Amino acid sequence: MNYDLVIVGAGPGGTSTAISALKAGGKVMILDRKTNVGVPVQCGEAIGKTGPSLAEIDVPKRAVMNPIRGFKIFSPNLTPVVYAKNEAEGFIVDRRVFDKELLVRACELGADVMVGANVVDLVYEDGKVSGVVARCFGEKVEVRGEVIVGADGVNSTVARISGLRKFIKPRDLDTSAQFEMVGVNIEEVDLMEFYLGSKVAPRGYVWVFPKSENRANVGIGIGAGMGEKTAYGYLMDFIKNNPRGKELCKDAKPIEFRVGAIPLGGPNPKNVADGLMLVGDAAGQVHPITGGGVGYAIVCGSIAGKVAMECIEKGDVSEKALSKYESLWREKYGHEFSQMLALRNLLEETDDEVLDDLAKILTGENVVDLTAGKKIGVVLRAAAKGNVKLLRLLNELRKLQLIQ
Amino acid sequence: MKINEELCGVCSGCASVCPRGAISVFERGLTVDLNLCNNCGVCASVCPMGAITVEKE
Repeated sequence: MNYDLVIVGAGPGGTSTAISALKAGGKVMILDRKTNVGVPVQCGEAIGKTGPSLAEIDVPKRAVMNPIRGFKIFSPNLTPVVYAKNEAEGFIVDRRVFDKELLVRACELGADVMVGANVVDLVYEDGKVSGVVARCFGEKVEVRGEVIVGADGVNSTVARISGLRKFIKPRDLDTSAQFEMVGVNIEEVDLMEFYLGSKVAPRGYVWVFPKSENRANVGIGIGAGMGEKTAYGYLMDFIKNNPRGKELCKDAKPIEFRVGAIPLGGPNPKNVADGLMLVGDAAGQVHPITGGGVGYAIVCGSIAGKVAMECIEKGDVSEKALSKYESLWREKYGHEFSQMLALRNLLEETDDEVLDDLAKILTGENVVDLTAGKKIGVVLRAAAKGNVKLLRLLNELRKLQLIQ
Repeated sequence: MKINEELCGVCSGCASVCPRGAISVFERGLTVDLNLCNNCGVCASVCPMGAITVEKE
């Protein structure tokens, strides 16, 4: 059978591409290397606020574990910056359920699925990608399609073989470790906690994301190779030695441990080729500061599925025709990603003491605006009066058009 | 290079940064093509568990 779309990867990017193509009348095959899609979870499981709105994401109801109405960010010396709304603006979800529910939606709309199908090669015909070769339960399978979509994550085989991203530079990767714990001494169940600092999490943060009154994901992401310890080492240090971390976790019991890798160095220069598209982590569609990617993958996937079907109907799946996808998603997020990448690089060079000073003058709203690429107020510069290092940082923020 | 399977959590970070594509990721583990690997050590530097050791020649 010849499909319209052959999608590699059944994560949020792949399934949302499938759903939008199916709604446009497409014939779709989804392959995933895993036999148990969505497991193990490689995610902090927080959705909302930065990036696409909840309305754009259409979170499966069964996957929602806990509504979130804000956050507390702790600077290196534990100065808090608090953002708390009266109503939920995001969720902590269960990614096992989340990913499965999206796959179920795709199946119910008519998608074919192969689990345990490890794509090992692309099929080229007249210079155009026209299929994939997979190993599936000991057999070699070839699946043909008009458009092949690589939604196969940080270590995308499709990106590598097609040459669109042969490998990731270590400095563009965050490496992560996380415990899911029960018995966490959570202060406020509907606020997320973030911890910053070169000794806490070099170029990254520790997160505490409550899933219920006493259950939370306690995890860390750090710039790959940027600290003296491994991500796991820094996480254990937070749990055992950080004044707040050890209070939070003193009675906590780990029920799950996970590791992950996050491509947050910005999108690939190009995510389309003749007969080929990349979506989600494979495309680098990840917020360079938060490391959040699920929402972007879903919205960009929806665009990819729609554009692919339009191109197939017109009989032209060339790189030029498919590049409409690239322009559309970049129109939405391209500026945000490049601005946030610049902000990430700036924060990476900022001393802990300056972050502490910054935390004293920032409001929670300021942080929300900053990470959304919106300008924050001049009042900050008045507050930083006399503090040369902080004023220098604010000046850099102004150059990035993040401060008035 | 060597991977300590007791520590590896199969995050695939090492494979994603390997300039030579020497590391293949499967659902339950990794394989390394030692003919492609040149012991550059970039994989070890990104491992969240410190599961990879590289012997310097």
